[in-house]
Amino acid sequence: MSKLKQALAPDEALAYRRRIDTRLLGRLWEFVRPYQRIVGFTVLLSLAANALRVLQPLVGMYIIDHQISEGDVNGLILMVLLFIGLLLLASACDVAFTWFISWVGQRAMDTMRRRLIRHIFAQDTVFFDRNPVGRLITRLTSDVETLNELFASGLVAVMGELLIIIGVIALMLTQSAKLTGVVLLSAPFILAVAIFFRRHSRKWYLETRRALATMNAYLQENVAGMRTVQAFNRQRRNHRQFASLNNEYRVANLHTIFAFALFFPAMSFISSMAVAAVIWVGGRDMIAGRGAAAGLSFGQLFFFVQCVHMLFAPVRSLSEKYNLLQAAMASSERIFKLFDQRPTIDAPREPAPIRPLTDAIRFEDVRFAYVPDEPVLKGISFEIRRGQSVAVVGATGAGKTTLINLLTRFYDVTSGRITYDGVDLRRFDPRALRRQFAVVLQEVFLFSGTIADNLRLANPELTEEEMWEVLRQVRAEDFVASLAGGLHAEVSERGGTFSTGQKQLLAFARALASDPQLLILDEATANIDTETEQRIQEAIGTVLAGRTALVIAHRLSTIQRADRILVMHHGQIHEAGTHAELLAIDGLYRRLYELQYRHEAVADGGDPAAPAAAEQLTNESQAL
Amino acid sequence: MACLVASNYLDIRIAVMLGAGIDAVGLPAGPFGAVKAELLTIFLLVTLVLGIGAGVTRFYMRRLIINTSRNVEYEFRNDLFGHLLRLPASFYDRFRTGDVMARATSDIEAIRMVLGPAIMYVANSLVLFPMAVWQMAVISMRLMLLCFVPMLLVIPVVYYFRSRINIRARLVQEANSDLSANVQENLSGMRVIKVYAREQTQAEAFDRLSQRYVKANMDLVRLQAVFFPALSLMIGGVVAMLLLGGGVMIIRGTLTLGAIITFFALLMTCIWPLAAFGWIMAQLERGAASMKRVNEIFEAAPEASDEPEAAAEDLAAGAPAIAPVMRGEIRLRDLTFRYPGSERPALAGIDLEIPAGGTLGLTGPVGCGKSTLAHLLMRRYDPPRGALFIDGRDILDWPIAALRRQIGIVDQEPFLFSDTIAANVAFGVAEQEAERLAPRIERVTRVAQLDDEVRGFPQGYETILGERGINLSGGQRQRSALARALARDPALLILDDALAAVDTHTEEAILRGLRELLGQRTTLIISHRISTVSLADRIVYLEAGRVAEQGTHEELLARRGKYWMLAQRQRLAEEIGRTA
Repeated sequence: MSKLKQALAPDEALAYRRRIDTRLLGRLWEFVRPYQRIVGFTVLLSLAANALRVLQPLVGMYIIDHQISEGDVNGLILMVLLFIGLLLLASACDVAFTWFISWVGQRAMDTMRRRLIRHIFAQDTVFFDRNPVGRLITRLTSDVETLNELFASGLVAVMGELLIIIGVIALMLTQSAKLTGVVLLSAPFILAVAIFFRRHSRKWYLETRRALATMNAYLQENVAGMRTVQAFNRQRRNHRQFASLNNEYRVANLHTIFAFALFFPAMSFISSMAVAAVIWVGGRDMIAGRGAAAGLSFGQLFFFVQCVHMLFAPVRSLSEKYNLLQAAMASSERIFKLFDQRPTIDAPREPAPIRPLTDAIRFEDVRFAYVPDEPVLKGISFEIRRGQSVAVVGATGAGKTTLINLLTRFYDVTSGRITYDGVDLRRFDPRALRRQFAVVLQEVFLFSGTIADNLRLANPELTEEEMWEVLRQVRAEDFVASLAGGLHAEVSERGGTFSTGQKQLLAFARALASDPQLLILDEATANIDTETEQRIQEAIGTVLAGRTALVIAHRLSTIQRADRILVMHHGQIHEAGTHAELLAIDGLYRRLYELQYRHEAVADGGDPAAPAAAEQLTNESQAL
Repeated sequence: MACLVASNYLDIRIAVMLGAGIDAVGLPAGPFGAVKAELLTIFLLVTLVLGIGAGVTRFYMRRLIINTSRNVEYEFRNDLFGHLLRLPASFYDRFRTGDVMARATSDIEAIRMVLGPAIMYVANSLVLFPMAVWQMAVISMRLMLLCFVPMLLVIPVVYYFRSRINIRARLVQEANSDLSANVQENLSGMRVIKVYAREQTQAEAFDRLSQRYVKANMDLVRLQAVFFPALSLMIGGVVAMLLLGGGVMIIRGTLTLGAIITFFALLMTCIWPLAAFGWIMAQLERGAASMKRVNEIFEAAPEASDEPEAAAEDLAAGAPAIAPVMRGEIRLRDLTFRYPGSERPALAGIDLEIPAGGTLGLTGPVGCGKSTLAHLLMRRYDPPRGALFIDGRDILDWPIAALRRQIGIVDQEPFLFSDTIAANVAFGVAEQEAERLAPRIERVTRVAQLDDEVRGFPQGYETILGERGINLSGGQRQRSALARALARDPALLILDDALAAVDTHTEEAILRGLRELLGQRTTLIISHRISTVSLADRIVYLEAGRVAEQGTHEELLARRGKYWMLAQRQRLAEEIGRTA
């Protein structure tokens, strides 16, 4: 069970060790700095609101000692109006304060989120291999949100509350040092209760969060993997496990409730006692006549009673905010850890300018391994000349896709180099480099939005006519036209509503819409119905026509269209040449052709070598 | 309840004592001077006792009510989870995981708020108000009407704000989930974004959502910023009324200062419960909406469970009394099946027979209905009656638990759980049985070609898998899932494209081991790979939910049809391997 919990909520185990860290606060301040004037203003507002609030008991005292004692009804009305005026002012300051401080907090967090997403976009593939999507989402949403809470209801408000405490004590001192002393006698008790509360509640607060995170992770996993749970008759056992996690959450909550149930009544008790003590001490003085000598009046007694109330409210909320501060520290630590990760593939300080290809792209003795000691490419050299298309064929695992990963700089070569018109790829800004290519990957990823949004991926200025033209070229026009909304039909998450074939056609359209000078195509192998298959073959023809291209090919028609064919095997180039040349040398390609593509050639009927090869294969397989 | 009454009564007595204390001071000086001091001391002591009493009773009240709400929440969530475990696959087709999660977390929390704090405040107010109002009326009916009645306005004001705050808070929540969804999509489509150098545009789209989130938040803040000051303004207004009305009454000599102070204290005890009333009304609204959403889950019909829970547990524990015992003879009679809500049949008019102990290979293009048959055999969906039989018994008449207990399935995309590898392999093995099955588990991990690799990990079988086995390769995940299925010692094994991510060499070794391990068990092998299905006694080539070709491997090759074409294509890979 403990292993299970560790597996479910790994982040929670690491959190909350840290106390308040000034370095982290400094980095946080960076995000607030642009608004420092407004922050200064909110501090003033908070000062004003709290000062006005502190004045209220004074007015009350004055009313009792003067207007009421002297029986001045008109004066009483006047003073009450003044009292209401103070109240209105204080409330207005409060409204403005909350609004401005939230505004700043929201802006600062907006800035942080934007920087964070850009930082994530700038990371290389290795980063995404290491960081699960869920964790990154948590950083960008709930961790940033915790910081916002700290900011909006935390820091400045805490300052205001400290101010109230100081202000009230100072005011009390102006009235009676002795009674102030009596009130402050409660301080050690308050402190003791607050410290006990903080210890107890912090421990259980953290435990509550951990238990909740674990329970929710378990729940999420079970809901997502329900068919497996049911297939293995795990209902009873998982229900028990869930109940146990649920119970941990409940127990942690009960402990927290205990702390709160103790804290609030204890605070009420101390404040009642403080009031009683004030009246007892003050009252005895007044009775003994010493009060009069010290200038103590009924109004002052009333004033002190109110002061006790004013002192206790901020003490309560300060204790509660301590937990928030802790959580915020943990969140900011996780966020800044993310900010501190640097991509290994990045633009050099002075990237070489990139121009349209004039000569060729060359792979020069390229070696590469995803995992050390497990080479995927073992010394690959070839060139793609401008206007030429190169098809790569070979079995799964031969290293074909890796060529694309290196050319688009999702990874960098381990040794050797790839050049673009003679310049090493690593000297370019990867983003500038990628802009030269249009890439169609095996698994088509469509973004949610409309079809038009997806076609405009590379070129936002594309007009509707241009889009229809592109769709016509890849023969997807009728299918898009048949959709409700046409170009503006909604694409659901990852294009879930389209068939595999339709998604491929759209991917070709998307590539074509960017009118690339260089095309990279990783042909999909999925089985597609014959009609769509026909369309796709034609679309590939259109896309490839006259372009410099690197194609990982599975279809005979695609291979035959290429100017050069590379046969890869176990990370090396086994044979290279044109279709005719390779057929002539009776090597791997010829066997491949005969075995795999013969029937396609027959179906096409377009290949002059096909009938003979088909004949031969027929004889062969009869012999099998 | 006693605590509730006592704590409120004591609070009111404290307020009265306060006034008494002040009045004691205010008594005319003279021969009673000494007595006054005594009175004051008595006042202090009484307040102390009352204070302790109030504190203790309040503590118990709070604990009692909130604890109850947490306990109810606990039971409620357990029941919900129990229900989720019994819901059929079609439910999970309709409800996305995120949706179910939202209902199980924030909606349950909203319901708890009604059950706990809301009830506490309501009960508290119901007890407190009559007592406080009565006490105030005793002091002065006129002053009570002057101060307390306008204070009732707090209720509609709080309600007004709270219900609007709830609505806006929900909008903030929605903006937040849009933002998360956007991040999710960006991260999943990172490659496409990068190859199209679309980082900037995507970041700008994110900016817009972030801005919308900011706006939703500020809309909420505008209300919240006004809400609390408005409340304290109202309270201040009441205090002003008290000062004015009470002041006039003192001047006229109809009321003492002590009485005013008591009055003041009483008003203060009433204010928060009053404010809570508005809050409660808004909370009730929200709770009702949440209850409706949770009920949508509770009202979903569970899988047919034709036996008591306890019997199901015995089955899970592998107790010998599994009735009926499966031999594994499968018959499909003109089986046509449509997924709920779909018009196109996934399987159409299929007649098939797998004798007990036989092996059937199933192949065909993507979407031909291969996996559907696996789902039906697991009773994830119900086939029409009279179309699918196991051991001559209609699958609809099999107790679900007994059926599943005797089938081992490896799904296309196996779902592993965040736990150790050992726990994942033993997932389908009951705890009581684990000991007896230990040698078996060791054997199946070897058959699944998992053993050597896992022993190579620093923590071996105790290695913790991340979310869905993220730290394993695709092949390792599939082999773990295979070991998990074999560990159950199934009468029928279903491999649904289960070895697609395993290389052919390892696959061969696995299949060899399987034949030995399974002996005379029925096996359904679904695969794209000819090398995998060719081991079967009989092979079916499905296309668009219909049987296109069937026969033995040799028969099908001789037919030179679709199966033959597929075989030719795939033999190539092997050929090349040998050439090199």
